[in-house]
Amino acid sequence: MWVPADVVIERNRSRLIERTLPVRGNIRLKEGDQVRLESVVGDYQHAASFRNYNLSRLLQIPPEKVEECLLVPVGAEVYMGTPVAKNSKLWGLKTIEFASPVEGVIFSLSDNSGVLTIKETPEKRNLVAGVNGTVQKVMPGKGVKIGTTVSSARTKLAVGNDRAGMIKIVSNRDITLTDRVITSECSGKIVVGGALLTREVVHKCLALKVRAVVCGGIHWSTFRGIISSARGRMEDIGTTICVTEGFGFQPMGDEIFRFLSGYENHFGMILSRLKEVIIPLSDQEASGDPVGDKDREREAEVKAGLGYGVRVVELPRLDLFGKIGESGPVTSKSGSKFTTPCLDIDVDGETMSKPIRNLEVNCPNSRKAG
Amino acid sequence: MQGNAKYHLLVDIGSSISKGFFFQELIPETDTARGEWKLLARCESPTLSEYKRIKENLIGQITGWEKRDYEEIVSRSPALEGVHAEGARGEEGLVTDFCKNFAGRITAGGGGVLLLEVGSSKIWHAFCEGEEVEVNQGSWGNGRGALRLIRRLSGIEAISRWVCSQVSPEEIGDYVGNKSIFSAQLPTNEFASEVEGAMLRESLGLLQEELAKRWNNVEEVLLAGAAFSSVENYRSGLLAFLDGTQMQGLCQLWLDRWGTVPVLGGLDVEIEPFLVNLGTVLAFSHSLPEGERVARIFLDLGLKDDLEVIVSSGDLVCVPLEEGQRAQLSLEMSYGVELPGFDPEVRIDGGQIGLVIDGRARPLFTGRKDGNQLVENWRESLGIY
Repeated sequence: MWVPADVVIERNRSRLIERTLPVRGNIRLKEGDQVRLESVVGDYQHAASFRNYNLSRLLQIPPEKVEECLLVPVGAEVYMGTPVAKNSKLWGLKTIEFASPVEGVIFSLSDNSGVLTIKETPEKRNLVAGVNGTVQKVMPGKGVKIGTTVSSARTKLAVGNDRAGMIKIVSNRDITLTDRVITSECSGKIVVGGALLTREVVHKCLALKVRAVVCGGIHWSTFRGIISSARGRMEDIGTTICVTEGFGFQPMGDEIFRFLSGYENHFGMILSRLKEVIIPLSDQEASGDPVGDKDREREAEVKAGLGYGVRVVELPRLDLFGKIGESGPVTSKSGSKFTTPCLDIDVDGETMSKPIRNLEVNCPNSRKAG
Repeated sequence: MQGNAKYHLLVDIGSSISKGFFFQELIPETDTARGEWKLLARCESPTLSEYKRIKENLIGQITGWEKRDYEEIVSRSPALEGVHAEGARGEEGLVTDFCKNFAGRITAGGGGVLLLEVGSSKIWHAFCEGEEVEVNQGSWGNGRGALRLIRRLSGIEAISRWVCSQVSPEEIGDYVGNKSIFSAQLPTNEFASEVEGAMLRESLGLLQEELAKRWNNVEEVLLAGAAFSSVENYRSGLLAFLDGTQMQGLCQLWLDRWGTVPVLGGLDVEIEPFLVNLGTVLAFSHSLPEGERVARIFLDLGLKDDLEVIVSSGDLVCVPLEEGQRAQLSLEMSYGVELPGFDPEVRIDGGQIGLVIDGRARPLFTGRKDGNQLVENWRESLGIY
């Protein structure tokens, strides 16, 4: 019987990795170019964003008084550190000053709320290849596809844009991730660990500009706070979220945790649409002949006695693991009205018959057996 | 073809699960008569990337197929991506054809047929009356579409109000989220069955407004899709339909227990043998307080005396009326109570469950804070424990 094979980890595979600019820009490469991790694929103008600052609260004055405290007019250009507003209290003995944290233009000031809006200056940014390989295809103004060798880990859920950064293990795989472990050292990185991603950790990741977080589980209520229902699709909040097992408190799978731990301090990428963590390999790291894309079997034929590992999915439980037993595929009643194919599974020495629909079969190398 | 019989393998490739049906067609003696189809076997397989593997799985579960010649017809859910089955037909056409086929049995009086199919990724509803056929789909479902379902609701409370098990809304939300990932898994415990029943109700609930315009003209309703075929028993399926749609009117209810709608839809096949006749459902339209009399119902079963049923607001009553039995219905409704589409000339039919009378005020749960207790009472009223 053929079943979907849950191939969590793949090593040393040829892949076509797409690197695209977030907005239309200039692609500097052509087909056939050799690239390294740090090679620049192209450049683009990062779109201007607006930052809001509540000066009424920051300067401790009523909203209608904020304008009197402005040191620069609306429309003026400011740089990081430029004094923008000042409030002197107690006859000049105490001064509260607000300096611009960004480079841009003073866009507006609200008399009702005292909120100052600064429009950031668009800046030119580069997109790096992130992988070693050869450019196979160029999409003018948009991006490139690079043929390369990678190892990868598949997750169950991913929300946000594709992102890249150094891998950092911040926690064991079977405890709740806490915000204490998210420090300034995590900035710009892909953090890995934990069985439960909480709202507090997400907020801290955003504040510290963590690129992505890979965790075993997440509650629906936290997840709902991340995704947007307004336009019926998942929005990017600034940090990519990857969940390896499912919803709820779910210890990260041992195999995927060991895999990612083995690549700590290595460059990695999250391909959100594919729900994958990609580890680009250098020429030295790519051992032996790579296996091509077409060999990436996601299904396998299970037979008796192969001993493939399985996860038994009996929601809400996701933590029951076993091996395919000796007796092979059988058909058996499940429920009162219809039959469904089942397999005998050995779980801790006990044999139980489980519907194939409720199994995730973990087939090593995912090639046809026998 | 062997002797006076032909054999057919009909395959329905769904977004999570594919089903195979092995039919025997008895060839009629005359060309003008329709062949009689008999379902010999039904089997299923996880949906895979290649059709030949799905077929290998299906055939491997049935002994004797390899020795027979058979015609192969494949239908393919439009929600599906990536499985290549050359010549497979999309479900949309089949649903439309099915409605026409099914509705062809309705008398010239022109009563409407409503098909509700709740699948893993999508929900279909089709209405057919005379020559008019209207097919619509929603992009939510009970499996892969579970996240899309839950994002359309006001909150997880919409699901948790139907769940009597003592679990937190967080656990329910996590279950629904996981169901979108592990969409093919069968519920194996009471909590799972309850949550999936709740999801089914809310999937249907999103159609309430649209269906409200139709109840006047609906005479028969067909319930289909993985969500209905996997309910624990027929009464659960019927109650889920009533709770979810908050139907108002009178109709005959059918259940596609095997999942044959997608495969038989476009064929010239008598469909009734493959459906379960649940019976007749009668749901009043009113907003009377609980306990107040809604109606007196008189059922003429051909006996000496009519059977009288008094229905109060909040009641769910099941009158045993077996398949093949018919009854004439007359009503005395209280002031402010209506039964849309009721025709006193029409006789009602029995079925597997019988006649189910829904005296609950609409909308359900109005002004009630003991929602979970109410749900438990309703289940008990219909004999679901």
